[in-house]
Amino acid sequence: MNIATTVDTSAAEGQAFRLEFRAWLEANIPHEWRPAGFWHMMDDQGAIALRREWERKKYDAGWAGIDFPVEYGGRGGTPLQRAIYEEEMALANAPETANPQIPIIGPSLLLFGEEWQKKRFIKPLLRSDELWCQGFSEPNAGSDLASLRTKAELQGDHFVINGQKIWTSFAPICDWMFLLARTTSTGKKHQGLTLFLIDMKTPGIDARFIKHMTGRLDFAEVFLDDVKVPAENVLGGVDQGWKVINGLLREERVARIGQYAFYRRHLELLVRFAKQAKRNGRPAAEDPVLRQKLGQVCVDMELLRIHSLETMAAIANGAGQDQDAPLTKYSYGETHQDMGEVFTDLAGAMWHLHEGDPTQGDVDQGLLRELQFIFMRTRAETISGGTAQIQRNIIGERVLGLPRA
Amino acid sequence: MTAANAEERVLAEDTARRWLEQHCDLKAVLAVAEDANGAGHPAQVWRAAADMGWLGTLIPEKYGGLGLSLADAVTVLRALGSGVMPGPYLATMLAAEAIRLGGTAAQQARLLPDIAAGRVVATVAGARLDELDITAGSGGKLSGACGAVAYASLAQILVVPVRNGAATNLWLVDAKGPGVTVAPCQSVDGTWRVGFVTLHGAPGERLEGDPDAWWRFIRHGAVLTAADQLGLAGRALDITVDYVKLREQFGRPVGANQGVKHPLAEVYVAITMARKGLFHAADALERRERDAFMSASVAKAKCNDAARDATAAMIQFHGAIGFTWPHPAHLFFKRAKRQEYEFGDSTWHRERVADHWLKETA
Ligand SMILES: Cc1cc2nc3c(=O)[nH]c(=O)nc-3n(C[C@H](O)[C@H](O)[C@H](O)COP(=O)(O)OP(=O)(O)OC[C@H]3O[C@@H](n4cnc5c(N)ncnc54)[C@H](O)[C@@H]3O)c2cc1C
Repeated sequence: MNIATTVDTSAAEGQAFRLEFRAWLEANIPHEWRPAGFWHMMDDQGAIALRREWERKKYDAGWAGIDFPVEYGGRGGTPLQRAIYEEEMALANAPETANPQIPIIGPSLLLFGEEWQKKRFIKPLLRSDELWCQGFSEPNAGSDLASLRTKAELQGDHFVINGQKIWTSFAPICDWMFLLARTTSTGKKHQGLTLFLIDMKTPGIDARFIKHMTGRLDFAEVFLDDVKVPAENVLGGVDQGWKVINGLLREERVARIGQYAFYRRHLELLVRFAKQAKRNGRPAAEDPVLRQKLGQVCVDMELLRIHSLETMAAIANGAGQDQDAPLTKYSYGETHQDMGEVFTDLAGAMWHLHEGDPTQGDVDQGLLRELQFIFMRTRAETISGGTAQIQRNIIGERVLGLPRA
Repeated sequence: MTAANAEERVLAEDTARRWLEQHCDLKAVLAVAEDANGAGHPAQVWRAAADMGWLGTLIPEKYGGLGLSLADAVTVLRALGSGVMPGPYLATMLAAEAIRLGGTAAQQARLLPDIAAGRVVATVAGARLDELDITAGSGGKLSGACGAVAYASLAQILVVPVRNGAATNLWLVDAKGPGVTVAPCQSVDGTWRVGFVTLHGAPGERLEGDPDAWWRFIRHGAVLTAADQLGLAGRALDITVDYVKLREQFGRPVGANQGVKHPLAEVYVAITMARKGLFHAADALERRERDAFMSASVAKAKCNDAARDATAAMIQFHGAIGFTWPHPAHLFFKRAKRQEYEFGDSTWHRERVADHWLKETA
């Protein structure tokens, strides 16, 4: 396949970087990890342990924290290199990170952290020596995050935190959490919020997994009962939490380059599957209606590639805030879900059978398992990190200038 | 696209839009649509198309044009589309493009200067792609039905695709000459004119420059048509957003409701992606990239869908007034729906894209 990457590498400074990293990945991702479905046929804890180990190796080889300063344990590269890194990771089918909050808490520390915080936290974060989780959502504060109620009270040299977080990805296995809590209850609700860095071993924290609909153990509820947090563990200042969160928009743009390449791989799996699966006595790939459906997601994916190319150019030119962030998030979620639907259309009655159905073609089981997982997982993409409804509110109000309800 | 000419394009498009707004606004367009037996050919628009160089955007400078790129032509046509502009300019530009892609230097030198200057109207049969069955007999006499052809009764030059075994070649016919009959036919879309053309041994002249020009031409045709659609879509959204901010029901602007806001946000997303896809395709065709035909299919499929959704939303979110004849919404909608089936509908293009992926993926 002609791998249409999102960077015009012939022109970009990143070409040498790309080739070097590609070679390292080629040499260091074990062959048994590569077939489709490998990660989906393994138990969750085993997968995390493998990933942590691999991430340490990757860090020690210099391939982590690409655009983080050297003094805090990063590689000191450019945002463009970071984008290329994300893309190559996805193209190589490298393991998903064990520390998915790196792109959020990392830049927050860099932008808003005190010197000691940067020195203390960034390197173990990048090396996955310490896993982090994000404690924002609460049972009564989802889309309306600013209405959250978990309370932090200053008592001498520490804060005492009480409340509950929910949907906190990986909380039970994480070492640290960055948590948004209310420090002031008067005035506008988003002005009284503060971001805390909390050691998950602190007494009073109880994190319990909630199983995903995919069957995976991933997110969790977290109860906080008189949790004592040193006052110096505030990130970005008391009552400044909202500002910190909103300072991270640029970061999203870089992270999404990797997302495109990740989806691109899924599209290739889907196309491969279309050739293996049989429908009505012939390969699904020969059915004109199914070809139409496949063609539609190929069109949408090609448009996302072009969009990514422009994003990449913007990164290379040092562009600031991403006005298109809600458009991008919305389009990615919709396109990935459409891809999932095309999978079930191609598979028909066997879409849900772990081993497939021999009367419906000789289908690679790992491929089928991975596509089954992707199909289910895409349902979360229009919910987490701001729902599709919220994205359309933002586009309608901030881009088109329509009035608020 | 370099930053400098991107800026020039914004300027050119802006100028074109402002000129059209002053000299042929939506009321004037409606008047053209109402005058069903008229030529559908506002003189001032045609003159502007010649004087401002729109007609010659793609025509090389040595033949009297501006010698600009496909992306520039897309920009100009988007401006014209945003005004739902009537007139044979698009048909003429398409014919010129066929001649540019397929003609020899001598053929181009003979025909293109008159087109660039607006001295002749030209048109093309075959916007429905490979469905026509026109054949060349001895001495280059062409016969066959051309189907509905844009501005057929105005045109002096007609470009037709002629079957040659498995291949298709582009030929020229004198539309006013012997062996050509044009029967008028009415279209629901009043912003253009159309006629049925039949050839009965009409003397033809083959475009001898590039015998494979047909395949390139239909991709260029798809992109140029999509540019008009993108113009329709963008203007439809602008007008609709303005309206839903002002129109109040239940004590607030209707645009405050998510049942209105969300579909309009989706239209915005669709138009944005369609624009990116279209300019990408224009550049890819210009550079004759290997996958350019696929880019053109992506662009046309997306512009088809975006234009339909945007213009349908224009009707919907105006309420009953959007369903009235005096309101311009129907002009946008009908034209978008007409163009949806020219130079490949979404089904045709999706099939090409799927086929490409299936062949390229191991
Ligand atoms: C897989 C996954 C991982 C997650 N990981 C984390 C994590 O690590 N840390 C964390 O803090 N959170 C996490 N979340 C939570 C996520 O951020 C929230 O689910 C999300 O913000 C939506 O909140 P909610 O679930 O309470 O839904 P609600 O806000 O209750 O929304 C319910 C429905 O109402 C709609 N709705 C709400 N408000 C509006 C409105 N104004 N207009 C129109 N429709 C509206 C929503 O779109 C949705 O469809 C995760 C969620 C998922 C699914």
